Amino acid sequence: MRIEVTGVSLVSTWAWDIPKDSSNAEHATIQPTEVEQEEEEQESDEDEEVCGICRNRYDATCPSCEYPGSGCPIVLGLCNHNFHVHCIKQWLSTETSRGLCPLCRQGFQLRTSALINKPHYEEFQKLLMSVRQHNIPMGGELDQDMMDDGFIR
Amino acid sequence: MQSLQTQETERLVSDPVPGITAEPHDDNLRYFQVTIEGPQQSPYENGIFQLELFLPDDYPMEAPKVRFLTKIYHPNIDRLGRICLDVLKNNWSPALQIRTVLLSVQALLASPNPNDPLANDVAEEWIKHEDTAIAEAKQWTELYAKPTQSEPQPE
Repeated sequence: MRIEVTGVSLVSTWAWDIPKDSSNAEHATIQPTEVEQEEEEQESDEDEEVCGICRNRYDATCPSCEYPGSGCPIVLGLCNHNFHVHCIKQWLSTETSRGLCPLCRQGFQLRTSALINKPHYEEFQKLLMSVRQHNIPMGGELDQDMMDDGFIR
Repeated sequence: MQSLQTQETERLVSDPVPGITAEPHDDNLRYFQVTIEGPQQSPYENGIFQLELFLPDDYPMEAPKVRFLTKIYHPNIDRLGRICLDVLKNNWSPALQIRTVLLSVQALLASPNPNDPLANDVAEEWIKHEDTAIAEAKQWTELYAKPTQSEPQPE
């Protein structure tokens, strides 16, 4: 029997290489198949593979992006919570955020050890600085909120 | 790419929270009609409360707007149905969802907090004469939040 190859189509997948913190280091040796199974079992909102804000996968884009990948990287928080860079920047620019991580409410900071964070350090530092300046506690804040709270229908 | 809102709406339908329903309006998918069952062993037990929930353009960076349509006697809910709840205001986080917000509202029915009042008269009564206040809340539930009542009765 002779086989003639008329064409080859290549398919590839990619994923962000997210370094686990040291406490998880032992899991690094797990066989790939086991890891996959584990991931499937965890398919839920708390799934580590989705952005904590838009709940799209890390390797997909945030809702304000068109193309996956380079245009919408993720950043790793010191608290081990990761987000699309656009999502977390948008959150930290709001006054309500008070510079806190949406998931654990600790002050959000980039992990310095992660290469993926590198291009964003400066921008985040500025962002967090301005959020902290804006966040001077005010009396009667709630009442003002309530007054502004008109319903749009 | 599925928007967060569609994702959430689908999950609300496919995996509903017990005692809570939320349906998007036909003409406006950001506007939800919500019902919450009064928690057991609370003055609101056996009541079905109608609410409206609106997702602002900035959602999830901004909290959803939630308001009671059914009249309710509660120290943290005023005559207009507005709710005093931290996660709807200063403690909002974009990691919260429609379902978690509605669960918080349901929890507020189970544990009224007269020390952080919105309806001052109700809160005062709640602190001074708790029994009377609870009886009043039960009576309002009976009057306005009857399960058979299909139309909400906004003030």
